[in-house]
Amino acid sequence: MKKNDHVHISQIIPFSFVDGPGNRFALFLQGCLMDCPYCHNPETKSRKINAKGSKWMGLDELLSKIEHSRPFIRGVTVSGGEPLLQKSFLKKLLPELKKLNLTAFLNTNAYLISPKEDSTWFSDWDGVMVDIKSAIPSEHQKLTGLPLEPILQNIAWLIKIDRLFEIRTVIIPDLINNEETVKRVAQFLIEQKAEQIPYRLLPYRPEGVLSPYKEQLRVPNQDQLDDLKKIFTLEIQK
Amino acid sequence: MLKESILTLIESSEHSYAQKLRGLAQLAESLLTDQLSLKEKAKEAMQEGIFDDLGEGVAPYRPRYILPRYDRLLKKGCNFLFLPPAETLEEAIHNLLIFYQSVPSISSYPVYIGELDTLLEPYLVEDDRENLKSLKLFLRHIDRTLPSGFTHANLSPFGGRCAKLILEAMCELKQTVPNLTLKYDPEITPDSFAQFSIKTGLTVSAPSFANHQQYLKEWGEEYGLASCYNALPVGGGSYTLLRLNLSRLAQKSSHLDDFLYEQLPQMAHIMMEVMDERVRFLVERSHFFHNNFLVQEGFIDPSRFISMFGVVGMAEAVQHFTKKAYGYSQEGQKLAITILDIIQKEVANYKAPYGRYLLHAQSGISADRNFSAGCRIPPGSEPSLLDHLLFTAPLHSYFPTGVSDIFCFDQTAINHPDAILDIVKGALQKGIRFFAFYSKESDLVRITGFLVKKSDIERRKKDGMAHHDTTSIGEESLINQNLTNRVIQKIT
Repeated sequence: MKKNDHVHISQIIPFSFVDGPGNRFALFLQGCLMDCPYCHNPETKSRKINAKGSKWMGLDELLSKIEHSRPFIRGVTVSGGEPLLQKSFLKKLLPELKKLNLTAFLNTNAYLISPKEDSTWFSDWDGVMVDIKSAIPSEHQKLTGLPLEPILQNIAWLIKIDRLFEIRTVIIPDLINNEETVKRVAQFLIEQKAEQIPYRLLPYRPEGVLSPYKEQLRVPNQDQLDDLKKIFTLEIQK
Repeated sequence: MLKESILTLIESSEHSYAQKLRGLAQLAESLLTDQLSLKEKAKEAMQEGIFDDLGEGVAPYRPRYILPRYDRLLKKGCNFLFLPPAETLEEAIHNLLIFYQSVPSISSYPVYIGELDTLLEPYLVEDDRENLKSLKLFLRHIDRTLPSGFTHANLSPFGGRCAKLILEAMCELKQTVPNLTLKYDPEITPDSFAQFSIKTGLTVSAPSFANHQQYLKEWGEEYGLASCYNALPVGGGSYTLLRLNLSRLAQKSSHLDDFLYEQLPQMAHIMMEVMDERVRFLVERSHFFHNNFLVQEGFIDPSRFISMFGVVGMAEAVQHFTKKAYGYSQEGQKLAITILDIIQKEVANYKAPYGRYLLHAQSGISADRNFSAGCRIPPGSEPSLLDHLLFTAPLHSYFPTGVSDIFCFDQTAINHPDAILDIVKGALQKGIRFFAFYSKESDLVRITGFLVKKSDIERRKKDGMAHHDTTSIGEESLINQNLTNRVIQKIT
């Protein structure tokens, strides 16, 4: 199998309603830098060449699958895992999507963005969706194994090049200080003069999560989510 | 035996007075079995169920489907019914409601009640609260006095004020009548209105989306969607509809070539000869087109009537020869296209005594067992939404008088009307003529083309009777055609 010009894929969902605007072809790439305990697709974490359930696919084969969905989709969203682990493939994919008149969205944790190196091609994304796992540095490090600060800097850069589509945070009552995270994200957006950027609070869901976390973590109720939305709104309006 | 049937109906505790009256009329008509001159081969084929007349009656005295020019009523009034032209919204609504009572059809209720937003927009008052109130009363009146799921209203592609109010009214009323279709054109219909229509569809299982651009090409501006999803000329309609059961014909054939090159052409001809007889009787002996006021006052024009050559059981016919599940193989799709090419050629080359014959994918009737509607994939065995659309889209092109596919969504789809609209746009681009959908959780279920309420079915079980004619046949269809097992399109 030719790894250089192939992409390592975990899953393809030809019709996805929840990975960006409209109906989209969702491509989940294999491999992640983070190790979040509440990950609902932990099978995407492994970076081994023969990770269970994964496959390698050439650009032509992938494009033919996208073409199959094409009349019914607005675009393609690349997610994962962490898709920026396979930047060289993505650089080849984006122009092909443009030729097919499809929008290209990226779902990333933003850690691997390098404004210096990526400035030549990152504007080809129509939108980037970034997950902020926690806006408290120590909590972020503990949860994901990675520092928060570079991620915030990269999000700031995405705002500067007008490519940030939305920020998301998974709300987990037992694991992160949700209230503080929500406030700090609001403050960050104000600092960046980007109050208009949508911030989506996604309730934690146990499907796919590994034990023992699956049994330990609680799903937030609607009142908790509503309270957090109110906190964000109050903070952003300050 | 007829006497027994009459007595059974009269003594029935499950039929309302109106239902008994219509049933008795049908039984009376069924006495006249010798009025149509049918060849022995035709009689045999009908006895074997190779083709049938869908209970249209042996002495047709009114066209099966009529689509009057309601705009003429509102502009010029109606002499027969002593109605002046309408000048206010109240007058327009009342004129329509009165007129509807005089529009016959196979169901005895009008199967087309007009492009309502176009008809009523000029009469709207300034206050939309008043307009909404009037429209709700209008739609409720229709549901209670024309209690048939085949009573069908249309919305123009423009998505104007009246259209929005009608959808709002439908959401509040949650009725199975009228059936409702949006003539959707992505180049005309605003996305915001289309998405609002989708949200309405996932709440009350209507409107469905018709491919306006496709139908415009074939019929011009004056066309309407009637009954289940039948596309017909406004100011005209269909004399008759017979349907050929491809599944039964396939089983009767000795092998594929026999089916394609002997049985199909032969049976198509025999069926069309029966259609000729029915059309002649209707036009020449019933005098409908001579003395009915609809014709005399120009609400319908005999030259705008055609007849529908229906097909059912394509899935089973294809499966019979390919031995593969229908909807999953290119081989199956190719065979379906070959079958339709052959039938279309026979129908196009046939000289009808009045009008012409055009193909229709018949939606099935409640008594149907072991064969599927039209060219549909059997409910419960549908592939992914993508593959479903790609399989059936090329088949839709054969049916200028109507075909549809029905999709059942998870209720959470209501949060993503933009995504569903993307799918609808793609579907129409690929040639889908009619995209019908509903949500699994809704009380209103799309049967074969009409709607039924689950709660009405339960009520009928308890009370023994239902107001809507289509409740009992809807319940029967749910069971016989496995409709409760339609694949649910889940949100991912």
